[in-house]
Amino acid sequence: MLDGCIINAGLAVVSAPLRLLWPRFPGLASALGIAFSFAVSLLYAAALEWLWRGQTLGKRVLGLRVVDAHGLPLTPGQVLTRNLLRVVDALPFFYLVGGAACLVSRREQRLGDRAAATVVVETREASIPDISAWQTSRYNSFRQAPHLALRLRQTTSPEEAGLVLEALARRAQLDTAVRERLYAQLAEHFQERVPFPAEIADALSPEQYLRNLAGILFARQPLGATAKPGPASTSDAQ
Amino acid sequence: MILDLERFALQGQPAWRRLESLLDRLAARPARDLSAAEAEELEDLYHRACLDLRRLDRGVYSGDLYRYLEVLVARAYAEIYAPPRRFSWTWRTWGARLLAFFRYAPRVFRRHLRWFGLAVGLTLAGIALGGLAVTFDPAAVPVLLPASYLSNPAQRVSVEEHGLHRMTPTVETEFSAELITHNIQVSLLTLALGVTLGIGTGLLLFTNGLMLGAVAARYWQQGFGWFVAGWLLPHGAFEIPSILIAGQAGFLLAQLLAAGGREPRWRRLRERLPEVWTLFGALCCMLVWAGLMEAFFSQHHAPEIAYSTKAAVGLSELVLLTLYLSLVGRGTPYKEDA
Repeated sequence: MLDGCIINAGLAVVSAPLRLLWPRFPGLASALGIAFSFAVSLLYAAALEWLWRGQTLGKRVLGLRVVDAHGLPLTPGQVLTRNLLRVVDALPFFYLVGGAACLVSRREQRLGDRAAATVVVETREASIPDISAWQTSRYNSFRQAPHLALRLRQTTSPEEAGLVLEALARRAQLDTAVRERLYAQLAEHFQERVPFPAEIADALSPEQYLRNLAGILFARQPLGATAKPGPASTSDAQ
Repeated sequence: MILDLERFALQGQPAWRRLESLLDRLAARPARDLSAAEAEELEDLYHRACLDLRRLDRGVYSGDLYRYLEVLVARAYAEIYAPPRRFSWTWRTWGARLLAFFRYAPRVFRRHLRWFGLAVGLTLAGIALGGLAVTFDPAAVPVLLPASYLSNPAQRVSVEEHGLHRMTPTVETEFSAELITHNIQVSLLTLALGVTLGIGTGLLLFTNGLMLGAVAARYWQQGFGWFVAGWLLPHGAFEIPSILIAGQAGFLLAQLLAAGGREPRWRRLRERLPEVWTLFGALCCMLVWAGLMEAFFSQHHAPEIAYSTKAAVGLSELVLLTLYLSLVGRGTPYKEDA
């Protein structure tokens, strides 16, 4: 629908020069307008998906991309097939056939996608994540109880460790109330598993507790070593 | 095993950034050839990224770093295992491509002649049924004929021959564009219905034949056979074969989508879909000519242009088209056989 609006807007812009042609060559202007409108409606999506590796303007806005179902780059045949077969997917109106095909397809493919062996996926902006989220070289009060830290490392499964890291890495994406509740639940879970002394555990906010926890689980520093206390983290101040 | 993620990320970053940079350059210029050293480097970096992703997977960590490596590996896989793309924008290249297309299209047509035969058979069946129905059952006329052909044939012929529907050149130009776009849309629908395993394509061809047979029979019954021949042949010589080729392409698409065969369906589709669109490209060219003929020539009737002349023009077009489809491209092996 977004691409449809873009097409209509583009055609309105392009038809302006044709109106200049109208007074002298009305038939030619009309014919060119009809031909151009037809070509754009038929080939707009195919042309852009070919040039932009599976994206049109609308797909870029919505964060979608057409990809080959087996991970290979799109071929011109695939791009043409999935777009020109819209005439069937659009039957009888408002893409009813295409929508029904998506509903029954495991990969949410309309008929054009099935014929072209393509799927539409959400694009992911991939960049190397900021590793400061799990920075482990600061002072860690858990190291004052190395035997408990060792037990913590031994009893924590890789899934639980990944969960802690994930929660810390997604800090900025969580609402404040949700984040505080989540961190409190996680901290309580691990504290019940390996209870650190009150003088260590009670001095920590749930977020700091989890950062210390990540430092114990993922650090390469031997558990017997202790670093000097450093400046308080910015997250504690919030 | 719990992975030391900090060290893992620090150690892996240089290689990942180098791979990302290489992929970005390839994406920006797909026609760019890699040197031997770059190709080797790309493969090495890809294998390293795969190993790094596997280590993360084993550690059961599904965060941003995993997603980043997943996307990186997928991009590298596509670049390494996809066929190379060469895309040139020079006029010479496009001229050569166009010439190659017009030589290749008849070979595709002849390769899939059985589907063309099926399209012809269904259309002829429709023509026969439509003609017989109109001939022996007058009640079939309003059912089978399009609305614009329901008037009395004698009245229609008189109006046309006296030039009462004569179009100005301006209107003819606009009319030709409307005809071309409409016919391409109908042909595209006929082709696209191949996704219904050819059933929709067959039905469309049959109903098209029904209408054609009904119109021809009605006018022939009342003694206006020459008029119909002169009216339809100049543009019909290209228009009717184009709808048949659309049917051929639709049945070919149905064949590619059908299950079975040694080759996986996705690979079959990936390699053979260009043949479907080659046929579509050819019929588009035919419909452009048919639209121009219908707007600028077919609408001129006797005494302006004799019907025998118009019929001769139509038959000549049909002969030339048959020669083109039968002879062009012979002698050179089909690209799959080369």
